[in-house]
Amino acid sequence: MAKKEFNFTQKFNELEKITQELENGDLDLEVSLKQFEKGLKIASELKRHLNEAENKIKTLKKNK
Amino acid sequence: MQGEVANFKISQNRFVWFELKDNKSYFSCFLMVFNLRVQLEDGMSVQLIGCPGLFTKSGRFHFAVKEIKLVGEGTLKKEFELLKKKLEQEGLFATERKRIIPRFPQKIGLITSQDAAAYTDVMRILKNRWAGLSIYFYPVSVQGQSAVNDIVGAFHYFNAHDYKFDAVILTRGGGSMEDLWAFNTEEICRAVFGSRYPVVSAIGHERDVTLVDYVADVRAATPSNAAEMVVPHKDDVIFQINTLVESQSRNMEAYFEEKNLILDNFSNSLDNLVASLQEKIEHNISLLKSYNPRQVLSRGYSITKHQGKIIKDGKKLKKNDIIETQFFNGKRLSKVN
Repeated sequence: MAKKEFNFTQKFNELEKITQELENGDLDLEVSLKQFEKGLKIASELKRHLNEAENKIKTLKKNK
Repeated sequence: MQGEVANFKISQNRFVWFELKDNKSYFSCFLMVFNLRVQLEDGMSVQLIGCPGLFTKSGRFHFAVKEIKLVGEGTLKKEFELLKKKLEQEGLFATERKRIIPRFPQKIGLITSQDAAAYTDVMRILKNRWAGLSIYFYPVSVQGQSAVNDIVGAFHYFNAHDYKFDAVILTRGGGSMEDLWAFNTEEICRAVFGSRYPVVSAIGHERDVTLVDYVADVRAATPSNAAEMVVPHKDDVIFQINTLVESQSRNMEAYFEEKNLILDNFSNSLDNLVASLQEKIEHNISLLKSYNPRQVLSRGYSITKHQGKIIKDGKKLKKNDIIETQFFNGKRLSKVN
């Protein structure tokens, strides 16, 4: 609980947003480059998560 | 007691009367409406648990029913249709209330029996397809009255906790209509209807349709199929991510190309400017050159000076003045006569 959970949906949405921004092409060069690098970083984080993260199973006690 | 229901009626919305009959005999049965858990109809086969009772005012004996169990496929089918109609009219199956499962679930609830193949199937598919899931498993019995109590309890438990599930899977493997009967009971249907989180139901095999399937937000054909419907396949998502990155790279390249083109255009016009300037300069230089007196001297003209001054008027010279003549090549002194 202490460790912050990896929010896949949020990261994926961000990646999609960056892609859209770059496609629209209204950012200036510096911002574009920064966003591009950010997009690459997020993409590798997402892929790492999919390849490495384990499913956690918690069994709840039957409440009688 | 076992037999067939006859003369079923409800009076004043509170009292349920019917007779249980077999080939030879009838017996009056009575219970209160709130104890009636199933939809009864004349001709259904039932098993009753209860005890004898006496209406002291009329002095009539009856069977006070505590529990009704439906018997036989024909009866179960009839019950199924009756309850289906009732729940449908109440809006429990309405498509507009079906909720959508988020595309990348992170937390799900699982209600099934631990020993069942369904449990292993769901876990295997979830593991193969997706990563980093938190699965909250609530073990329940999946058959008989204990299943009804357990599953209703499971939904109450989930509703009472703020788990923020993306979906809850309710599943069990195949079986006979009687085995699956718990999933046709009003109690479980209402529990699913009241679930705080979207419910994916997968009861039995493809061909088995239970009332719970109608109520659930998503109906899956089998336990494995339920897992497939809840999470995407990671390979597909990785492909999607790669496509996004490719599109980003392409756009960046296009961006640079565009800027390059602007730079190219700029440097081209700069080149043109320089060239035209150069041309102008060269023109001026040759113009200047043509003004050079040596140019004139080379054509055979000469310059005459007296005491360092250029003589333009011959009358101003006197006899014996020494003049200097400058030729294209060399100078000469002469005396005026």
